[in-house]
Amino acid sequence: MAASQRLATGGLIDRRRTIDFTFDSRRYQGHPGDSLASALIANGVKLTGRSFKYHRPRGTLSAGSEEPNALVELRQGARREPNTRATMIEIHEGLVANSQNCWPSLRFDLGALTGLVSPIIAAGFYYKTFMWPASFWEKVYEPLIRRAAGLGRGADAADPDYYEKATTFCDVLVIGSGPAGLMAALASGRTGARVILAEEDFHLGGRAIAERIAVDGEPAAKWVAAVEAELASLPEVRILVRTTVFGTYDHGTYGAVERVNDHVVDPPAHEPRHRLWRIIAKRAILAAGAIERPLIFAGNDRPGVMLAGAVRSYINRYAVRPGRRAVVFANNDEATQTVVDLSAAGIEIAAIVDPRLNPDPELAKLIGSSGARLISGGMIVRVLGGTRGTRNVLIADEKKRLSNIACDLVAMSGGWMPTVHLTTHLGGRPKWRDQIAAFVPGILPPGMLVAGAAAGHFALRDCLSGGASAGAQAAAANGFRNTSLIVPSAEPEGTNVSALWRVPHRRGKAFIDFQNDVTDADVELAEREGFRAVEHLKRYTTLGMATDQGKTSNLNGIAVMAEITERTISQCGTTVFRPPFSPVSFGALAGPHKGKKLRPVRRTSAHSWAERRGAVFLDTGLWLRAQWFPEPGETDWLTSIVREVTATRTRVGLCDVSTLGKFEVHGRDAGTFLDRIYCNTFSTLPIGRARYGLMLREDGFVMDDGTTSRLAEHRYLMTTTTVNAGKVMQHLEYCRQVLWPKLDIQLMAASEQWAQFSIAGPRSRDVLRQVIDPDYDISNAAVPYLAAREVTVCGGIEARIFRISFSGELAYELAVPARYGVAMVRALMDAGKPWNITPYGLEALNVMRIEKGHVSGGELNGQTTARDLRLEKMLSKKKDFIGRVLAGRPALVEPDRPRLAGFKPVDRSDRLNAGAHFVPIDTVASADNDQGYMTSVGYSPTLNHWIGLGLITRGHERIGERVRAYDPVRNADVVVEITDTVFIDPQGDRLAS
Amino acid sequence: LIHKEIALRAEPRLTIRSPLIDVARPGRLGQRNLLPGVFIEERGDLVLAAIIGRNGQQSVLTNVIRKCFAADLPQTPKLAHGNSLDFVWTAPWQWLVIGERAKNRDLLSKLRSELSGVAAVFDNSDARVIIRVHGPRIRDTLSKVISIDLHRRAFRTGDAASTQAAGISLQLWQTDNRPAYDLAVARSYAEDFWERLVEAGSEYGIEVG
Repeated sequence: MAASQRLATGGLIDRRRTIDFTFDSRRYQGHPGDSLASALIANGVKLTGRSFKYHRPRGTLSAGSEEPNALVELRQGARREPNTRATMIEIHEGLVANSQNCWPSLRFDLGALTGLVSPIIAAGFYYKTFMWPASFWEKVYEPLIRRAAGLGRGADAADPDYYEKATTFCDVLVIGSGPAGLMAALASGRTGARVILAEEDFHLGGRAIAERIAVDGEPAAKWVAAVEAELASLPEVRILVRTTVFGTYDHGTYGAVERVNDHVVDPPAHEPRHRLWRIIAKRAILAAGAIERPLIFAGNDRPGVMLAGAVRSYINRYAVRPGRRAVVFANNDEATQTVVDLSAAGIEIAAIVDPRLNPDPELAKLIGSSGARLISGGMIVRVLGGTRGTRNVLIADEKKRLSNIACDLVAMSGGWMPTVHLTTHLGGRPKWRDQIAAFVPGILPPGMLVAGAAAGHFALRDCLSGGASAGAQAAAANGFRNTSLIVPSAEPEGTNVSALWRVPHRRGKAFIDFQNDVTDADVELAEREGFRAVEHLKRYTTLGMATDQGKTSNLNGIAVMAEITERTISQCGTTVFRPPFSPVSFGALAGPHKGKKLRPVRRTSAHSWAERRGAVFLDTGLWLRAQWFPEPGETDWLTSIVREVTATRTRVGLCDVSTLGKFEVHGRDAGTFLDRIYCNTFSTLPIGRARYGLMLREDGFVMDDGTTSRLAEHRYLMTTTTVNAGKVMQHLEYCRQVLWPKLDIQLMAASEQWAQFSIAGPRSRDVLRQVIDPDYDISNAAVPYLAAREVTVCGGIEARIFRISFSGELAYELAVPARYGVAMVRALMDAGKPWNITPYGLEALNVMRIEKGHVSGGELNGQTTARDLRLEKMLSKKKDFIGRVLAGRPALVEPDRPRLAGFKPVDRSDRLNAGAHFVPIDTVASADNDQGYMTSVGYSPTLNHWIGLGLITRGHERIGERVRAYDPVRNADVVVEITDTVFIDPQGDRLAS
Repeated sequence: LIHKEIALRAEPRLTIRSPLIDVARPGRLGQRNLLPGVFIEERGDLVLAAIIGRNGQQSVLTNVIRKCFAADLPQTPKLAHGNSLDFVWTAPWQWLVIGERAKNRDLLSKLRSELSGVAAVFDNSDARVIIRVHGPRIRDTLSKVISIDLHRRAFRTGDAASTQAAGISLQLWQTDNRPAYDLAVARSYAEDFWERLVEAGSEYGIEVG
């Protein structure tokens, strides 16, 4: 289909190439340089969507990121994205877009029937109507409302694209590349400062490419191209197009999103769709321009009613004709330029309506003999039209005489609002300025300057000079000076405006917020119901909400409220904004950190060995740890675990324990340091020995446990649990650096240096003997229980052995430098072949430690004291230590506190559940009767039944008593017997064998 | 004693394994239509030692290092060169010592004996992996991984920093003016970090050395 409304010449489009695209299943053509909105206008398409609430037909209002109407679903399938602004979509080959909020079709939309009942669905309707019965809200009302309303449909499959984040730094960040931004970038860039110029559009220039204006006597677009070329040649200047700076954050940090590949159907391989930039700028220059305001009159939302500045953009930048016969309705001097541009595009001007009695004298000259009417002191009172666009307008002149004028385009302008958003993100409030009838930036974020229209200086020459001086000032603040930058010349122009907000009217709806379908009547209703504060007005009417965040409506809403309440706009209040300036995709915010990449993954040095053995891995903190090692034919985890435990208890098992935290504690005062850290004593630990240690938090609760060995006079090796390793490291560093800086301590994390394996079971010494170099005697006498030795293995490789046991068996932990991890575990597996050595995972480890009554994560949960865990004998009375005083608080030594005990089911076939609560038998399972809960459970192959550890009131005094283990979550209710915490080998004979 | 014994023994029977062995295969990754924008390789077979000065011994430590290794220990995040060794400041009175294993087989025992009573010496050879990166797009790549300003005016050859990348602790220093950087990460994170680095650089094309 030929683009009927394309002008023959002009515009920043490449007419040599055509691009095919599809809108609502119809194929159209555009040119490179078109936006979707301009390409649709070129093809005579005026209707682009339906409104959110009343399903009114809507066309394109603007030509920029403020667009509230022309929201479309872009792309298809998993890449479908709702609410994309047709004004911001760069046309590309294969583009597919669909209108939204309509069914069965855009032209015939059943949802538009809501317009007929609109009198009863005004602001606050939902709050008042869907209140009773309360239970209906979630199940009935909300789903109904969501189906009827809503803004487009999200994709129903996972986003296939890649998103990334990056951080960059600069001396000067220039936000916006209109005349002010370009001059700012040039002035700062020429000094050699590091400059980033960010432009949300795909073309630099801002209004300079949208207006028929001259810079230094040349067409502005030519000047833009020259400046762009110079900036591109400066090595320290970076130009980011398609990049929206969306937020101002502390310390000169700005958030920006670069739409790297939204202008293609599929991003090229290895490239992201969006890139989220964190820009850390010593100075920033906001040159974001201004946003034009609609005027408020009945039917101002009809397709064909457009902002005057947008009309000029479409004519000048895109070379399209947004209508054939136009009425211009403006309260400011830009009406003149609009008339000039319309005429140049061959668009007939039916009338110029200016509410001012003395419009720009240029206007009368321009009209001359064209036959257009100039109606000064007049207003459009109503626009008539429908899905086919605007048909005619009713205009009242200064004497309120009505005339009906046929037209298909209304170019309206209520004046311009500086784009102050980024100045308010840190709390600055905009200030009202009467001369321009707009808010200008108030207190600026530290390091920010504002130039051009964003500062309320709308004339081109002010933009050029303001940008140049802001650029020079920002560069100079960073020590970069130079250059006599000559500010280019520009014609003087009128920027007068008289504040007209809304036109009094009787019939039809006059919209303030187009996206949320908020009319002036809704503001009146809000006022009547007491929602007069600006913030209340917003919440009650939804004015300024949704994807455009009221870019075209906030000020009009305030103005109408001010008018109704007979206050000035300053008295009425102002709006501040939160980031983001315009919508940012969740993909960009998440970046590559999604799915399994949400957090880093830590692998032990023997990970690849376990993987090849078919281990099932568990995420424990950041670590991947083997949970069990299924053998061929084993399908259920319990079978594997029973086999692993039995093998370890009867022969020998092997477990990778490298993830335990390890810290080297060196120095003259290492013993003293550990005595203060741990509740038990380490300064008396003989060299070559290990000891179990318990450390408390300052508040007296248990922090962590582990064994610590003394390898030499001033050299200890501490171990911690896997999960607490980082926390303990912070704690130790805090104690060393802050609490006791005078102690001579050298602390080094050693978890990464060593691969460590537990070899447990009656044959563990036999296995170890095969790998430890023959010079070292590891007999029971030479290396007794709790010995720690530095040895060598496999022909001289340094190693450490610790005779410690979590399983309760004769056991050793062998540590070698991590580069040997895989080779070491293979050597151990080879050495253990005669005894069928069996690798075991976390689950078997857990079963065995429960069988021995050792506490672990379930018990060391941050809520237990040493006394609760029946470890109170470890609390030294001969020394001070962290947590000592507060561990003695009355509540923590209260006799009825739940304390650690063992549990077994009375019916041995019953399964136990961790988390089950204990209540006395024959009492109601209620919080009043609660006596504690099960902390850990496991199936003991040694005893052939489930066992558990738990915390129960006076547990240690109640051995033999029966209680209910009540678990409403898993629907279990089991009678259990309280036992000692140690289920097997209570004398510890196996340890010492 | 143990260290002397090691020197006397025959070659050990266990083979060593890099944590990057499954991912760091030489060749091209990512975009292949252009010359590589990024070159990355693991610096293999290094001896790494962490040294921490003991209280009151700081000036002695500085003198010993100058005398024995011809290096001036930096007191800020920087790199200093000595005889076949590099010293990277990592924290107040803490340094990472880096040398090629071939030239420094006895480094740890030498450090321990020279610094006895002056500093604690820890073997870190297995604890960290060092990745050497350079190439015309290396700064662009690293800007997606870390939040440090590596611009030539902000970070120069010999400068070092401690930071984090997607939750992974990282030390880096600039080794020359190409620029090239060494990135030191903990062993358990190395594979994950490598993958994130490759992902960041793939749009520029990567050559793994």
